Amino acid sequence: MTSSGLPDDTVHDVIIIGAGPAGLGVAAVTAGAGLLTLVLDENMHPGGQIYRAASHSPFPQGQVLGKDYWRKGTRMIRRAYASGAHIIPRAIVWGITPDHVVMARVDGQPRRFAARCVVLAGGAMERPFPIPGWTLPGVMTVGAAQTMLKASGVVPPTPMVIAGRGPLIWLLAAQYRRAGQDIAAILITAADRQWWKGLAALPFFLLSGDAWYGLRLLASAVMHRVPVHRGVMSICAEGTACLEQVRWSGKNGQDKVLPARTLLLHHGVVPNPNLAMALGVPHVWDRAQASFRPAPAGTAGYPDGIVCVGDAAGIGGSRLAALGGRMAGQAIVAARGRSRRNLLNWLHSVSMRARIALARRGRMFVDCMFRPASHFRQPADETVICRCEGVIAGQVRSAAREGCIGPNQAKAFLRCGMGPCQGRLCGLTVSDLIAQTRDRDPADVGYLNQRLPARPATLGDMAAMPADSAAIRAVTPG
Amino acid sequence: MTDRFRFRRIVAPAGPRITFTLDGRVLEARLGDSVAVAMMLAGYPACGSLPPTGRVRVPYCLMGACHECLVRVDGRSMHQACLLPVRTGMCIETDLEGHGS
Repeated sequence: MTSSGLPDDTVHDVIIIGAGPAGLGVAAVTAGAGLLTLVLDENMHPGGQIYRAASHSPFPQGQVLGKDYWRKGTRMIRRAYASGAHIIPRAIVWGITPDHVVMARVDGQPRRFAARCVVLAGGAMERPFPIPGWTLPGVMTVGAAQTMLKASGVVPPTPMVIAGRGPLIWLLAAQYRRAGQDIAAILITAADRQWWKGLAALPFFLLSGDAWYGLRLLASAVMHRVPVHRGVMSICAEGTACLEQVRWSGKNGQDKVLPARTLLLHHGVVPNPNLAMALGVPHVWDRAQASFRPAPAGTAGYPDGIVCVGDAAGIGGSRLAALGGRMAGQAIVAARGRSRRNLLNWLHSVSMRARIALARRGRMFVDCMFRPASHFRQPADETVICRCEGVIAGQVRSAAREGCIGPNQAKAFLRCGMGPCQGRLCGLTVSDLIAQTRDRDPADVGYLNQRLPARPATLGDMAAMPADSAAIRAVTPG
Repeated sequence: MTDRFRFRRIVAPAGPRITFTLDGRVLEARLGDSVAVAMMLAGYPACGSLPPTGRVRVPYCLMGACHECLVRVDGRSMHQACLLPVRTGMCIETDLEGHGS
């Protein structure tokens, strides 16, 4: 027997990877319809990044983290459990075989789970934000600050500077205001030159329900009286053993210096591509979001029985992720012939489709508004872009000038993307730099090839797997 | 470095007090925290160093993406400290020079 209460050779109707809004949305529908549903999530508790620890946060219910977090987070987690889905936290998935055997490390122990269908709901990760000095101790991401706040009620040392662009910056500022935590300054980086292209989507954004929420966050930052500097053109973290100061410049080009023990960086989020790409899911370049995302389901070459939902399938935010998850759940239920056809269900699905369409169109406004300027995505030559291997932007540019046509050749030349993070923190930058140098579109340049294991796995993990054909295929390239 | 790199709690921790070891030192933590947060709160956030420069690795993203916080746990390597709950008696080893393996 296993921690899901079922024998190891049980074939689940559906295995969902990721217990955020999308994954829990799928689970509530499929388990609710009686399908044997298993959710694997790498965190300590379900909720995803946005509702991290909503069921276990040390803050008293309703405090500091915001109304949305407490209300929606606890409801979502409660519904997923009530539906009868098995949820296994602390499960780090490193591979999936073509016949849907999921390989994971659960509490450090190798485990495998079989399914008829696998849903990838691994969500987003923060876009790489390479600046000079970003590898110094004291520099972290805004997401990291949120993680320690939600799960442990921990704040980083002060003075603290927040820099970047994106809604999450304002959410963290609002949470810190309620927590009484000081922020020395917020540096908002310059907008992309084509930000105005999103204005056409403004009416849809205003109708989507996210607008009011966004305005409330902005108002909260104003009330906090945090110095906010806009149009920031360059940011540099400086210090010897750790961060001591943040050097930045505005539109006039003049350098300013802020003493800081903490610098929190954020340039929006992008789909976490590693597992989907390693499984052979075809990807497309999303111009508005300046990132790669899985091609729409049904595209040629899409692996059988694999479904991508939520932010993992293209950034849409938690509202769209939850809606998309429920739609995907209904499609899985329908494919198994388990859905009840009646007028109420039909009306429900029509209304969900309409809400998804509206939210998606409104998202274009957010994408264009918050897209970081290209010179941050293609940093100056001396900036480290691959943290694991210490590769600088100039090395990628000169490799591209010498005829390197894509990230995979760059990997062979420079090792960028070969460290433990497997390109998560440099992949987009490498594609962007090569595209810029060779005057090509990132769509033509492509992304670093991904292979299993998608997470660090020891030989012991692999050796512990029964050596059947599926296990052998999982660790054999091609 | 410990002096300048202080993380602190702003709310009473949910879990009971426990102890774990980091490169042989016995440190205190609270059940419910991740190994990464426990190390940060104890004032020892360094998880290792990177060849060839010897740059010190410290947790960067805290959500499983950056892999800067890889540590050895109870003799098993390649554990992301940010994803692992700290437990009583856990033996954490970094790969900083002069410590661990």
